[in-house]
Amino acid sequence: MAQETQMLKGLLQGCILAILSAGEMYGYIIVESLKNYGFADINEATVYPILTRLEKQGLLRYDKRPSELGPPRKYYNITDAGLNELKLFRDCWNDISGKVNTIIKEIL
Amino acid sequence: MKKLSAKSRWMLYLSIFISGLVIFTAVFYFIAAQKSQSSGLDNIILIIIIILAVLAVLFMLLTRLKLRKRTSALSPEYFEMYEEISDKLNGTSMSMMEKKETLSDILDLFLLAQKDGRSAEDVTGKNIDDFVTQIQDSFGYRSRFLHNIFVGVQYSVLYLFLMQGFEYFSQSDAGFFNQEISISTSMLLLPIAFVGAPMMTGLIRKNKPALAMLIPIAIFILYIGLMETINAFFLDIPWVYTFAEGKVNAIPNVWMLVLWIGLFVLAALFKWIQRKTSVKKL
Repeated sequence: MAQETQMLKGLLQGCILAILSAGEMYGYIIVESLKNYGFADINEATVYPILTRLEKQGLLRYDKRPSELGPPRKYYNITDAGLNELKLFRDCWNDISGKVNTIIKEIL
Repeated sequence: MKKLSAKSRWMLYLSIFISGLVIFTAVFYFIAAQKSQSSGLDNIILIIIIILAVLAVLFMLLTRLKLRKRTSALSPEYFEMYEEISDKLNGTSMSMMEKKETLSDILDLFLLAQKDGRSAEDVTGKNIDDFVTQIQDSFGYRSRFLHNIFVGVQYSVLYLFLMQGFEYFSQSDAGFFNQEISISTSMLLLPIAFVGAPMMTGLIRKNKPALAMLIPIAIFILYIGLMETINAFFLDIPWVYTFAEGKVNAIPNVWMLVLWIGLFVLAALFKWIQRKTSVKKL
C-alpha cells in the first residue's frame, strides 16, 4: 500500500507539471483539473505538499496575488527546470508504460 | 471569551495554570529564602519571572483571538480543522515564516472549498497527522533526528547564556564574565535540550499540550530527586562531590562568548545545509 502511494505521488508530480505546462493555475484549480482527468480520490491534502516540494526543488515558481476571499493566493507556473523534468517524466512514462502494457497483453 | 473555541479556552486555562504555578513557586522560594535569611531570588528576578508568566498568558490569549479573527469567514467545522492543523504545525520543525505561509495557503483552500459546499474532511482527508507530516517533509525537514541535535546545541548555548545572565543579575557586584554556575545545574541542560525539547515538540504535534507542559516539570522533579539522593548517599565520592557542589565559569571572557555564539551560528548553518540537501533528495 505504501509503495502504491509512493508510485501515485511520483505520477501525480508528473501530471501536475504537465497540467501547469499549459498555463498558470492555483492549487485548488489544479486539484479540480486532476479530478476532471479521472483522479477522483485526490484531494488538496495530497496535492498541496507536492506543489510545495516542486517549488522548493525549483521546478515551479509562484506569484502571490490578492484573492476575492481574503488571503493572498499562489498562482503556480512551471520553470525551465520543470519543463526539463516534465520531458524526462514523459520519456520515462512512455518507456515503462510500453513495457508494462506488453507484459499485460502477452501474459494476462 | 465567547469568541474563543473550546480548544482555545482549554489552552488558555492551561497557560494560566502553568503561569500560576511558576509565579507561586517563585514567590514561595522568595519568601522562604527571606525568612531563613539565606540567599534567594533577587527582587528584580522575581519581578521579571512574574512579568514573563503574565506575558505568556496574554500571548496565548492574543494568539488565539488573532487566529479566530483571521479565520472569521470559516464555518465552525472548517475552523475546528484549521485550528487543529495550526496547533499541529506548532509541533513541527518548520520556521515561523513557513508556518505562516502554509496556514495562509490552507485558509485560501478552505475558503474555496467551503464556497463550493465541500466538507473539511474532503479537503484534508481523514488523517490530519499524515497531512502535516507531508507538509513538513515538503519543506525539507525529513531527518528530525539530526534537526533535533542541531536545535539541542542551540538550546544548550541559550541555556548557558541564561544561567550566567541569571547569576549576573542575582549578584550584580561582580562582572558578567566572573560569574560561575553550578556544574550540576549546567548539566541539566543536556536532558532539557536533547530529550525534553524534542519530546515536547512531539507531544504538541500530537495535540497533547498538557502532557508537553509536564515534561519540564518532570525533568525538574527528577533533577531534585537526583540531587537529594546524591546529597544523602554519594557525596563522599570525589567526582560526585565535584558534580554536586562544583562550579564552572562557562563564559569567562569575550573570546569564549564569541566561541559560544559561533557554535550557535554553526548549528543554524548545519540546519540550513541539512534542509537544502533534504529538499534536493525529495
